[in-house]
Amino acid sequence: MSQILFYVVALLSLGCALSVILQRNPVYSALSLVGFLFLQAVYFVILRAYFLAVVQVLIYAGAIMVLFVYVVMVMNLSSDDLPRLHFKPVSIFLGGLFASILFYLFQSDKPITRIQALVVENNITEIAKLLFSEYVLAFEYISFLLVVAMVGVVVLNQRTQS
Amino acid sequence: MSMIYLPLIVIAACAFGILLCEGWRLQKNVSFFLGLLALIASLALLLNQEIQPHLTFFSHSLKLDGIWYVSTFFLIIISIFIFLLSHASLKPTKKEYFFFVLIALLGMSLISASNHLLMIFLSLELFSLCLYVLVTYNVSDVRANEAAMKYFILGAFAAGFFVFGTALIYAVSGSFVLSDIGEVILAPSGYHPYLLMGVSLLFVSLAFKVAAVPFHMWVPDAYEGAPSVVTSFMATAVKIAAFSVLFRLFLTCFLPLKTYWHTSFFVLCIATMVVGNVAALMQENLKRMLAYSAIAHSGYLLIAFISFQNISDLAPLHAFWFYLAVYSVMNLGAFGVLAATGYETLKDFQGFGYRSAVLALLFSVFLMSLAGIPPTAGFLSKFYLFSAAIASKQYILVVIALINAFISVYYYLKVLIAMYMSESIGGEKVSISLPAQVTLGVMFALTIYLGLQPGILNDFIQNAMRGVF
Repeated sequence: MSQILFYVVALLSLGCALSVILQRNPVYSALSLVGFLFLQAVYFVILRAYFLAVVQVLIYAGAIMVLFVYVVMVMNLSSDDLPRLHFKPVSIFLGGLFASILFYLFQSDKPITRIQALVVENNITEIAKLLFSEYVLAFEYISFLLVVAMVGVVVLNQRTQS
Repeated sequence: MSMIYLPLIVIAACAFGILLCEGWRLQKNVSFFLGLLALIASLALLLNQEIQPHLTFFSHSLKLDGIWYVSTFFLIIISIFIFLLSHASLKPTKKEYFFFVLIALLGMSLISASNHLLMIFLSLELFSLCLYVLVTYNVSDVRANEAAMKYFILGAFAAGFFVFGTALIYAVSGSFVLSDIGEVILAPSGYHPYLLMGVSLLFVSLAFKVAAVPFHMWVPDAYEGAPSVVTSFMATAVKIAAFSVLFRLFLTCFLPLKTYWHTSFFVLCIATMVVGNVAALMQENLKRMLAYSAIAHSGYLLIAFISFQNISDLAPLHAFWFYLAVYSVMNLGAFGVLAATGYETLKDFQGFGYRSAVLALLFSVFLMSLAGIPPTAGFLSKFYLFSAAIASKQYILVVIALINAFISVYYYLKVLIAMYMSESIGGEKVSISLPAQVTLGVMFALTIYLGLQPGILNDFIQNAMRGVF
């Protein structure tokens, strides 16, 4: 059952991802991205990581996508401003090469045994425990990174005004 | 003992202190002196520490061993001189400027200490974010905006590669900690192909940061668009940080996979040397020329990775760190001259030798050192590197590197010819301020001194590298 679900979701998300890069209109691209991110949340549900699924929908499909759409709206592009889609043969070739290498690798029948899925009833507690024990430095570090990003944005905008 | 990371805490605290200076509207120089004080204090604290090579902190996230020690030592010294140069050449100096330099230093120091793929990624982002802002320091300059945009977009791509590689490695090893990944590589059952893919993706991302050739496109634009001081920071500090993490990943953790990554390093090394030097020949803008020369120097540094065979012979590694230190000194000097005078093109330097004899002399010494002409430190660093490569039988590589070194003499000499052998286009004598004089003087002294007495730096490196393996 979950296998069928997985393949359906995989195909759908592939379609969405392709649509993100192939649409000419940025609004359609953004909407396809919303679809893609929702489908990602379904993966987490299949993996029984319910908390991550909720966070994925709230943060990515919610907050970040609103930003995207907002930016697209503010820019208010007419269809003349939009670039024509054109693909260089070289980039298609290299992209195809990379994809086929990845495909070849994923065919490998060597089992991956190292990861044990974190299947517990209450995975919020487990995530919290990990965040404040093993990953505490990274967790604090990210807040540091966010402060720097924020100051950077403020500084760049200050200068534009003056 | 537990406070071995105290130097980093000092830097972080003072960086936020500088941010507060803006809020409190203190005098402009306060942030400069506060930052300088922080750097000197952290340098003193660092030199006071004993290196403990096998101690890890925060559940193996950080490993403050010799790699961290050497690169942080270099990075702090570079930052001190960057502070002096910025004070001298960037008018008006914004207070946030020093905040970003300090935070970038913190990120670079932490990346060299990271023993954890997640920490490496976060540090990479931390210092890259600071640099994106620093590159657009002159917001009215169109070139700076273009440069920052290119740097930002390509940097985001490189970060994407890093994350993809990390994910693949995590899938196989179940851990972000480098020593655990090392165990998986050495496991008797052999490793999964995902691991190789992950390693090569990490390599792509880091090759971008060290400006190895297929991934070097951003370098000339970013170096040209940024203010010269920021360029010298990018050319020296970023390279040390990126090479230190490349060193930690490929020469400690992924060393058993050397049969696989050897060829890609080999090809990249040759391409980087050749493309960097040949492209530098065609440049009229000195910042672009020095940017391509910085690319070429990355190529020379990659030789050390190829010629390192096993841990019984550490000569390539010592040569590597020596080269990195000397490279930083001479680049800081050369870009420092550009920053202090505000000159950019070859035309600006015409007859410079008659207008400002001392500055022209210093610039000539830095350029000759970059070219590797004997009495300077640049020669000795190349000598160590190439002789280590010969000792491990990398003859083809050494021959190509030597040919490239000869090519490079041509474009460095072009500047000397412009300075001394062409009619002066007029213009008054250039006078530079005291902090810039101090910086250039110290760099000059180091270039000559390390060329004659390399022992002190060699001992320092050998001491620090003890116990890394």
